[in-house]
Amino acid sequence: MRSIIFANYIARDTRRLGATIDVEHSHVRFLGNLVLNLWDCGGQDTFMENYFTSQRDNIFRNVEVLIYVFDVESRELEKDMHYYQSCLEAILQNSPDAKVFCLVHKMDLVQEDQRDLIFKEREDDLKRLSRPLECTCFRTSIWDETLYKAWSSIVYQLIPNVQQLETNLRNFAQIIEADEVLLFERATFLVISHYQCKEQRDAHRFEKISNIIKQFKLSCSKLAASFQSMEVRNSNFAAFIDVFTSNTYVMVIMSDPSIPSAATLINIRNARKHFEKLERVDGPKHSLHMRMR
Amino acid sequence: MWNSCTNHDSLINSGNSETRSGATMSQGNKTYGEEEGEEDETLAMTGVDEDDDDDDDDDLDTFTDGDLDSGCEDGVLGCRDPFSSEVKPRILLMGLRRSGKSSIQKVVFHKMSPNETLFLESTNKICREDVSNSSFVNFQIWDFPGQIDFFDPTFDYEMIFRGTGALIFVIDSQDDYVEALSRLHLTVTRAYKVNPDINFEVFIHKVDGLSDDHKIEKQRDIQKRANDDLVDAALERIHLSFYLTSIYDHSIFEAFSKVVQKLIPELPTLENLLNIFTTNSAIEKAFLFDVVSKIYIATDSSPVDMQTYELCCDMIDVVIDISCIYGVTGDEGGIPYDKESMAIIRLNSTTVMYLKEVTKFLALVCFLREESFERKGLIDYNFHCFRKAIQEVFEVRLKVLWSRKLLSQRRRSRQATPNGTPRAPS
Repeated sequence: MRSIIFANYIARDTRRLGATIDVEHSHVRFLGNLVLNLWDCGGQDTFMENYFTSQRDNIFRNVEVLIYVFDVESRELEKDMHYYQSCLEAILQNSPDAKVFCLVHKMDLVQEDQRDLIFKEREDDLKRLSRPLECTCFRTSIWDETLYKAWSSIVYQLIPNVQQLETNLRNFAQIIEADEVLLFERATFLVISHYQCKEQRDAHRFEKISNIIKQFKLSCSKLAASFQSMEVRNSNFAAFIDVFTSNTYVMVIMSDPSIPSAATLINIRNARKHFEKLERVDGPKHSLHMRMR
Repeated sequence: MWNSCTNHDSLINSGNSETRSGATMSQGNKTYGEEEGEEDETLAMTGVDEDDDDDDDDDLDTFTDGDLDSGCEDGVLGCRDPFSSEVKPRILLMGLRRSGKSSIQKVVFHKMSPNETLFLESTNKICREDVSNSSFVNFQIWDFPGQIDFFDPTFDYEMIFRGTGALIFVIDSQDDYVEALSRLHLTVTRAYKVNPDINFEVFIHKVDGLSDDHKIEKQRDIQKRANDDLVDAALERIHLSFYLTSIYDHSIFEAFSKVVQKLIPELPTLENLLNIFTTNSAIEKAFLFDVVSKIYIATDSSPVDMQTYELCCDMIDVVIDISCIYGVTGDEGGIPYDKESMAIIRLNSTTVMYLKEVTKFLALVCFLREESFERKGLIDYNFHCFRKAIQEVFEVRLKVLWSRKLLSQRRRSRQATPNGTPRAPS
């Protein structure tokens, strides 16, 4: 999962990844100035025992976000839940303000008609177990867009000035008469902010767009090219995706076919400087990522 | 042989020398002239086959609407959709069970993700599926659960084979293929007896798990064995084409593109049009794609690079996916791909990819340099001419086929009168 979101793997390539040994540290630049410290902790039993005993303080201190991954096909539900609870205890002790996210992963291995049912069951269990902490649950799979939805929500919580971004986006959209404006983080293509002026049909469109563009970026990279901007039209709409600030991409949806492309592109270009100024840094954040086998 | 020129008049006059959609004509003189006498003569040969097609109309959906008489009289062809299934090539997909036929069909024509095909259930009975309305290709899957029973009265095999342009036999390369080879031999010999014009294509499937050396070795082995079988049966005339395919990458689309291209008689004309368009607009490479299946039916004469082709497929994916999300109006009738569909993607290597709608099913995807793209107005004008020409090419074909159908009908009704006097067409 980490490879796909942060390191531009495509889903198929992840078959080659081996088991994570102990803790893998990585620093990920996000939004230019934000640095995420990602701790990918191996899921084997020996490591898990280790975390809760000798390394406890080290790992669980100063955590902003705990992401716990469950394998939906796991045969050892009891043990999984036990480890999860130990994590929660450690978090309560060391970083009680951390936000907790649970990902019920590998959902593609479940038959489609059973997915909702199984996820609901798990979610109820987890919410019950997590009290007094609040946990947000997502069902994910590396083979579709659900992965992006989960990570977008997680990342959304980490952005320092999200309210300001949204206000500015709204002004921008209203000036250029756009139906919708989305802001993506450059490397991961996760949606970090958006504004829509009318109700859109598809509630899952953000993660779908992230998925679509990410796939395309990866195919371009095979030809040693990378895509810079895109315009898609049909008789009902026009979509423009372009580089925005040094850390973001913007997507503008117009539904008025009489507005020429050039006008929108000029508007986007003029807005760039304004948004550059908004990007600010607050200091490095620390997140914790635990992995369950 | 088609003359490779774009002159409308010469297209009509040179006639329809290669027929693919349904009628087997003798291998001899096939010119279809405008004079009455010649017409009748050629129709006499094709009349029989047309009848058979008519009988099987309901099953085969060879024509879009069931009512053949409407519009025939007044000769108004404009009301007909020029891209009805009449004009499309027909392809059969056959093979042993579990060889991957349904998965191929789903992945290529229904945009299913290859991983989801694991959940597809086994086809239990003789199953036939049509993919004719959304794609340029008229495609039927035939899935046989056990031994092919060529004497089963439910399905008229002879009829089907006669109306087929290409027969694809799928062999699972990860399995033992001795039985597959014997079934292949049986199917091919049967089909050849009925219709010697069928293109026989063998897909050596599921090669994603094999190394390159292994793939080549398997292909060589299968090729040798299949051809040996044919020689033993004294049928060396039958030509088999072999392709290595997998649904997990673009090889299945590439193989399909080649199969479909062999079935389009207008191919040299289309290629020529593309050449003229690309040279006049300073375009590096252009493909004419079938949007739904991502098969390309024509390209210009410059060499085809697999990676470029894959990138075009991906671009089509992006365009259709985004159009599905934002470009469909609330009501049921909304389609994501319509007349105004177009897309421009700029890559950082100063290459620009440009997609434009050509027909309901086809799109033109081209690669050009940033500098050339600055003269977009000129390119758009050239494209406008190109688009008109393509539509004319297909319209001509449709007119030819319709006239043939009309005349065969009249001929049939004439023959049917008991007292010998010609009957006016009803």
